[in-house]
Amino acid sequence: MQHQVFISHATAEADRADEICGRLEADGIRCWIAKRDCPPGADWVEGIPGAIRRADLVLFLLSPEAQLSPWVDREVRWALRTERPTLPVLLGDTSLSERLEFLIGTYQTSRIQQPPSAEQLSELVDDVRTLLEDRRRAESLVSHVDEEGAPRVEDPFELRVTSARPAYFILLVDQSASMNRRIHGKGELRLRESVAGVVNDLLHQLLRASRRPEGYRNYFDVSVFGYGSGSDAQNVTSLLPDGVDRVSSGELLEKTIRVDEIEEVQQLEDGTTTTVLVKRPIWVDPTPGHGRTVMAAAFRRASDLADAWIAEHRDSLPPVILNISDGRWIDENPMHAVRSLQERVTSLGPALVFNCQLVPDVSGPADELVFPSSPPQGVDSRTTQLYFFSSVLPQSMRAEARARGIDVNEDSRGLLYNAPAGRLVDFIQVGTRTNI
Amino acid sequence: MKPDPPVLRRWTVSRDQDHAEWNEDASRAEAAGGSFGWRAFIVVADGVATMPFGGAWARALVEAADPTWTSPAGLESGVQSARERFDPLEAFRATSDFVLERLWSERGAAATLLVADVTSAGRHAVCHLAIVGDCLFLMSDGDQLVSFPRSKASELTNRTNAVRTKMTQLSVESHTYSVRSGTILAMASDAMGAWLLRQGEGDGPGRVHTWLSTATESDLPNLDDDLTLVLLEVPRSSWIRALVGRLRNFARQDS
Repeated sequence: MQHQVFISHATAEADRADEICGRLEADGIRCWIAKRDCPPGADWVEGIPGAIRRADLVLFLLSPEAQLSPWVDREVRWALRTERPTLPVLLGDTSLSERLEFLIGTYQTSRIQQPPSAEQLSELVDDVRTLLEDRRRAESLVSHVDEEGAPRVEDPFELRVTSARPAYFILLVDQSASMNRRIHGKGELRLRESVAGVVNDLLHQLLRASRRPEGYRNYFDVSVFGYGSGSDAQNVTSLLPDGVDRVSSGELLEKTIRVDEIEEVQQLEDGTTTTVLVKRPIWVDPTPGHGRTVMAAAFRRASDLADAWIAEHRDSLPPVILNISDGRWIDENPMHAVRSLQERVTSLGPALVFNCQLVPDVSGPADELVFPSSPPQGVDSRTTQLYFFSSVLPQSMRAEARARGIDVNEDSRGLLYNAPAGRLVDFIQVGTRTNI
Repeated sequence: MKPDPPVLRRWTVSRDQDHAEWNEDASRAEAAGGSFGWRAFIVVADGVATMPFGGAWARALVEAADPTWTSPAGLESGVQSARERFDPLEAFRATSDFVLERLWSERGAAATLLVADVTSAGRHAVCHLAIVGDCLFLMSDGDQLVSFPRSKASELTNRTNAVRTKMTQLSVESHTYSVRSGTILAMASDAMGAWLLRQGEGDGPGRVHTWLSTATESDLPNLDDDLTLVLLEVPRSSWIRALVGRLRNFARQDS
């Protein structure tokens, strides 16, 4: 009979593993445990990877000994590599080592005492059941799509947006004090002004893409939230006029705070140029900030926004969250908030999270990471974490990046790091690429 | 015996199925018979969606087209007249604003175009054809599937070639075919054309012929695009129809 749960443990916890295995199997959940299921003489190196790969859930029993065990370490890495759902179970007072915090710290954990009470074992069985049920639901969703003969969607962003299947962009804009810095070589222009300009350009672009002769179509929804503008560390506020949470492209023109007129040089058909006055709608002004970079709170707000939108648009393109900052988080690590956000799904796929870290000075391309495809080396751990919680670029966005002269491959992630402000346009254009 | 004109079937579906009026494809298909034989004239245009007046321009082209447009020179001259008459800002004055005006001045409008003039010629028909951009003409007799200007579905991705309102050189692909009676001609916008070619690549020409012979509007696939398909079956010549009729009468008397 095919097992559902692989139990990973150190030799020191063999009895505890047996006890948990017995409790789960008494409840009808078939387990794989090395001592029993990998008989003496069998090749463990062959047996264990396959057993993990076939498992619906991998349970890690984590004690101080387990965290030092090279076998447990291998099993953790293999479970991550084969993308198995995992449940770390902390035994006694064990806390995650820095290494495991980095590898699996974003997953929901359970804790049981040594020895566990009957009540704790029951709770553990409930946790396992819930995770197995989540997986079953996800699989039934996929097979349901297959049964209907609909083409499998490898990249939902290849699909054309329609009013019934709009796209949703959530822009999270750092407004902390450091965004007041001037951009090298750009005179008085500050980072916050540059970001506001790019956000206004994006909204204008969405407005134009939605325009048809008879009016505007609701092809896009967009939210723009600022964080770190005030002294309240959790302060995350809408930057759109009237403080609305989101606006559809059909309403964008009504929501401008003003329409500026700017001079623009245009090329005529005969090759000559002329300067004309053109209207430029403005939705967002650059607000001077004096707070700190509270990214986790911003991502939590984005999860709430994504939930509300998905409830109304279950079959739409997944939301895309673009986080623009000039620094890294202060205080709370945003990893849990980001992972939670990436679990928001429409029927076409999970939400995508892209991160952009700007610098005011152009310090040279050597330091710049543009849609990297492997974890950056020789940088501090927060940069590496930024890499891991940036989503992989779908095919259509990779094509957009290539069209902009950026070298990407199928592992490239939506991360811009140490990037000069001019790169922000590439980041926005790649991250909001849709098929009209 | 006065020949009957061929039966034309013409279908179109908006990609936004709740909004048929948002369909940016346009088409026209007409056929007439007379002492000379019969003649059919078909136009299919597909407005480029990234330009706000693509649908309006496609409709304007379809309305203006005539059989002279099947030659490159005739098409060039006819399109130029259509450009001069096309004034979408006036037509949509009630809903216009600075965004629409700027899009129009920057981009203009564009549409792909297929024009086919099919006339009877004894036991055959002759089809004069001109195409700009990703529209597809397809002939199916059950054994063979001939398509123009592309032969593979993957080739229908030329998004830049179109008839533009801004002055640009037209890139016209034209051809004249002699068509046997019983052959089905299909004229389609890009997504529909690519779908038909994919069916042929996967299941062979016989399967496509069966589909073309029996399809109804409800059989059109859902392809995430506006779709247009015009079908024309070249009638069998009058003596064959007479022979078939006599054979049927004999069969009836015999029974």
